[in-house]
Amino acid sequence: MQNVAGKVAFITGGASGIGLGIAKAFAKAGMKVVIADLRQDALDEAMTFFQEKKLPVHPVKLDVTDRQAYAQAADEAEKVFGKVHVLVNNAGVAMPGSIEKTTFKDWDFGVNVNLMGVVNGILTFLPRMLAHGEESHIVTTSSMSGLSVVDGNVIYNATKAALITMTETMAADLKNTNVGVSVFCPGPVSSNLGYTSQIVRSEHLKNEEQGQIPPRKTSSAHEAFMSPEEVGLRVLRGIKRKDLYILTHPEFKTGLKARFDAILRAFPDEPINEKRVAVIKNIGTLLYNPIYEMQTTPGEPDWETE
Amino acid sequence: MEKLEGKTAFITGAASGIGLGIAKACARHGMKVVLTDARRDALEKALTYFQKKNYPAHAIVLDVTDREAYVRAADEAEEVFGKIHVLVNNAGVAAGGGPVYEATFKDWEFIIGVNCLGVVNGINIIVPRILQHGEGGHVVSTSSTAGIFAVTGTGLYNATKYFVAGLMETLACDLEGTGVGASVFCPGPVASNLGISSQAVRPEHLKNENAPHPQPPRDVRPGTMDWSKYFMTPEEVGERVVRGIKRNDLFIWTHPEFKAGIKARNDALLRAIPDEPINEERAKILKNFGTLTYNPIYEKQTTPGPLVWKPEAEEDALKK
Repeated sequence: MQNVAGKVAFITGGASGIGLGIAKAFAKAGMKVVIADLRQDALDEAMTFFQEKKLPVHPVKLDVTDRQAYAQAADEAEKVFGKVHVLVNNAGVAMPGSIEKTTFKDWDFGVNVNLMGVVNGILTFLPRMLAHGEESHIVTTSSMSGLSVVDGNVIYNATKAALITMTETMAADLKNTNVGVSVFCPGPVSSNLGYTSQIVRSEHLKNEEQGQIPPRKTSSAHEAFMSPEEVGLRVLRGIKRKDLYILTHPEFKTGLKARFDAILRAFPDEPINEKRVAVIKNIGTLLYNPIYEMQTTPGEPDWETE
Repeated sequence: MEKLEGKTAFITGAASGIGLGIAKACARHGMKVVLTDARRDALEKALTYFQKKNYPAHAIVLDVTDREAYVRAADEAEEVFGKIHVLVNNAGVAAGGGPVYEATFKDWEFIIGVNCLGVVNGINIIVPRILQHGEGGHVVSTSSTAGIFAVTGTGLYNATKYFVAGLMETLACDLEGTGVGASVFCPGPVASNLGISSQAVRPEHLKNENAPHPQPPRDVRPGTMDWSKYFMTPEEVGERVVRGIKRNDLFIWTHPEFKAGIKARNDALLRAIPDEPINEERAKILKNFGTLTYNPIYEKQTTPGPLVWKPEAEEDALKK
């Protein structure tokens, strides 16, 4: 989608962190932006920024796990700004803990928001995009840990991995339509995911022994993390380039390669059964999916940071 | 896990297809086998095989999405065979074929319930028991080649199978040093009946309103060639899973011909990394964040050779 000015974007988890960074990048590029978030106070805080800058942004209070509310939010977005062209499925939660410490409530919470919340966004907005027929794009926020796992984050890793293939399959499903898709896999960003995840957790999914809510901005290492504003610009570039994968941190390349090498080493070293291959080859994209060929390499940042 | 003899395996979706193939292979390698499945009739049919062979096997009707029933099934397995050593999260379904956006919310709920949360239930209920008895063990979860690179038209299935891969890779890290291994099993096409069994276990409240009537099982769909005879047999993939458990493979593959397709995806991902100078200061800090930028768990994977095994029919023929 080369020309984004005047287009309408709907961003979930848009009131803070990465979602807000994306909203800022979009608004500055001339887009009309709906920021959806569960936290009214965070929406209000974000809106003071946009109002000061006189940018066309509209806030909607939305729990992405509530399908009826999601449809209403989509109606509201269309009423305020007209057709929606860009959906950013960014709302997500984290609940660190290695496997033996996770509870069923942790899993239900993580799967509902990180996975079903994205499904809800896609099934709500995609039919509307296909109906209006104008060029559109769907970006879903996954993570580097959806590609190469980080210890002690099993729920987060598993849900983020699911989002990657969902996007890859959609890229193939939608290749003859006017809707593009990207999966956004950022490395560490200076945001407050641990804090917001606790705030939005509904009562019935809280563990009986609730840990303390982590304070905002705990680590001094945050200063070295990428800013939400920068990753927002990277998402914008990814939409313009129609990248299948939008990646942010080149220093993750070695770790990613280590995983790929492990996967390829695990193939049994045995002769290929040619007869079987001749058959499997003809089953759609089972053996080889050309959708991956479209990905090219983006260069250095081509923007000025403020 | 080198020695399997006398150990107990708990296998979900074990009444047919891949699960049954794994159960047979485990039994052939001297294990006691608990077969669980949501389909009672299929379980009873499967059990006759083990009885005929005098293999120690016990069948439990289990819907993997029912957490209370799962706990009872684990208790029952322990009552019958003692400690559980190997958990095979194999139960899985297909749903919502076709473009991702045409699938219904019911399709999503059904497939996530079984393929994702069913595996979570197995891990959260049985792994603590394995850790507690301290004799070591292994967890295998059935993903798919479609859990590592996407197949067009099966988006929901792909998403749940990627979930399983991400989950098992992290589980392998979490279990390091405990004597319990973890593998993600990624089979290519196997001669099974996933379409039919998926319809059979789908609960009423998650059925689509205008769903077509389930087709009666047939050997060959009209107008198509019978691909299944070229597919790998459940017995062979079962043997491959057992080998993977013994080798403690992180990834268990079956079909070497998928290598090029996976490479294509890997290359796409590496090409997508921005070609820009590394921010050395940031990289230095990130390096100290545990396994964030590099996870050594991947280094342990080595390459298995050709599978050495004899199909049962050949073995029986030799005996005669």
